[in-house]
Amino acid sequence: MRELTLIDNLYQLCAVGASAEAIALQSKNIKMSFSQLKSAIESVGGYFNEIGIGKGDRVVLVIENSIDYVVALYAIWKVGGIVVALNPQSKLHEIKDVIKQCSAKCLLIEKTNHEILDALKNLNVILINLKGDSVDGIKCWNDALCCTNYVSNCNLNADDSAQIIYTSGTTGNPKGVLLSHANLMCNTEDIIDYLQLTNKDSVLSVLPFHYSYGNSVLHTHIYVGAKIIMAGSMAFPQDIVNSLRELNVSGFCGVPSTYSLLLSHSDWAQKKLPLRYITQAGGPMNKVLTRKLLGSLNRNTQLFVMYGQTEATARISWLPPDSLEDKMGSVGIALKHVNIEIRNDQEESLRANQSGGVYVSGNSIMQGYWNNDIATRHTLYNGWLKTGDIGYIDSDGYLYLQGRRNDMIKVGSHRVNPLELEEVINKLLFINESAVVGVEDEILGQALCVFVVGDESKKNIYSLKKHCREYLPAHKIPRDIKWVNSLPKTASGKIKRYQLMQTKEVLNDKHYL
Amino acid sequence: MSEVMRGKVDVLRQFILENYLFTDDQSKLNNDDSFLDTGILDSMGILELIFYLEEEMSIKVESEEMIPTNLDSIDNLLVFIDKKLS
Repeated sequence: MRELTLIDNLYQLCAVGASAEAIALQSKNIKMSFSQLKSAIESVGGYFNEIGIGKGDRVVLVIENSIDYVVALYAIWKVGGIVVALNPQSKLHEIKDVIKQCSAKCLLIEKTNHEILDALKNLNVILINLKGDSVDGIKCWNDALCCTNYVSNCNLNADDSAQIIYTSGTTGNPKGVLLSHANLMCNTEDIIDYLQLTNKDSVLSVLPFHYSYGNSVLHTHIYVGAKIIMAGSMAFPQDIVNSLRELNVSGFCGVPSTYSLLLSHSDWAQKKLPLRYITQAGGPMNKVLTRKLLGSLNRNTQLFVMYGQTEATARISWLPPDSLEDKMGSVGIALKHVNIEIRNDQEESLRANQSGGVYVSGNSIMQGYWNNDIATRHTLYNGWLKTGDIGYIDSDGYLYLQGRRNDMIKVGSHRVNPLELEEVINKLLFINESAVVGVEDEILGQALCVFVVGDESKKNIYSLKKHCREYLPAHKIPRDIKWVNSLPKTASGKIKRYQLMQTKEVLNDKHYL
Repeated sequence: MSEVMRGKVDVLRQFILENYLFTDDQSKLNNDDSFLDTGILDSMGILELIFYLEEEMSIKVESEEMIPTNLDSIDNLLVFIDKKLS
């Protein structure tokens, strides 16, 4: 018998009357039950069949968290396609790069800007717009929702690829993590197991679904028949807290900056919320913030600190809430179907309390990077994932992280590759070279600081930021710009980023330019 | 609109244009543009806007006032500022 996938599970859920009629999704005042979700998936799936999208085809989504996003995602799986979801704020060149890199067949967008739509029409993909009517070269989402064609059976297998999640590569060379249906299923079931999610739960989701954390929140709650309520932006923390109260939800998930914002800019701590669980992942949360958050919770609310990577689908380890005090600073124990090992540079396993590279294996480990054998070979060894993180496991089996081997910068919930920014910045004629580093930020965890060698003037600072805004989404625009005479380098010419992060200027100067 | 409020509109528009749109082209910002929907500001941008209101305009923004109706466009900001100052 073939193994089940998440879409099979959703259909099974809909076969039971009570579960089928429960509310699955809520966005603003629109609610959708599980049976309505299934009907929408059938219609859109039928439409995808009609326009020739089938097994293995890549379909790119550039849409905000919404009910339509969820319908599109499951409908793509229903016809055997591979979901490629991007940040809805992606710039045109980023969308083009991904379409080219994964040879996408179809692109779903929600745009009204004619210049962008015209540019997208020339990309040789089937273009479906969620906003506006069907026009020359652009199909209309409503036609998909109203399709009455029967969706054909695509004989989906658990080992078939389900999703490509792009992590920050350099410009023109994005790295796509390829996940199978089995990867998603395994990680989803493991997360449900430790969070003890049931159909009585409901979650207010502020995390973007296109990242692995938000993706896992979506799938775990759908799997158990729980309700997902899509919230507005974290720009208005009090709005989020008001929604948590009014909607009486049982769960909330965030990254450290989410909780930092809620604690500093809302009455989250003053009037305790009756939540059953809150989760934290997406980078380490310092002990001060963790204790502050713990102190702000109702005594029945459990805080789950978690660690993961997109390459491991989403989650790798979790810290049982009752161990939080004893094991403060740890990211916990491995998920049920995950093995964690600490290894030295010679790939030999280390003993308890010895520090080394964190390696992970299990059914949730990715199939590889899409169309990038070299990167895959550098990351996967005999079924083990080299996470790039450094840490140790204590004698009780709890993992502690001590840093990363690569230079990725975590800005709020976003991971930013400094090389990508440097490529964009170095295109400017008045810049000779640049180096981007992450500097400490009270709310975001890290903020972007760029050191530039070049012609310093007020006009050029202005041009640099304008140029970044043109080519990069908001979260990748450097907060600080520092002009220097030269960059510290190794003998082989590599920039010593660590040294830049330690410079007196960065540590003392908090001024915005 | 009073002379004082007209002056505040200009100052706010200038702040957004210079710091987030990196242009002096007035046509790039409509007074009813939602900062978030149009991507002009993200969540950090909204916080920076609040710091600006507090530092430069001496307007204290309480947590419960951090809502789109008060802060998510030039028009909304003006109504909010007017209310705070009166």
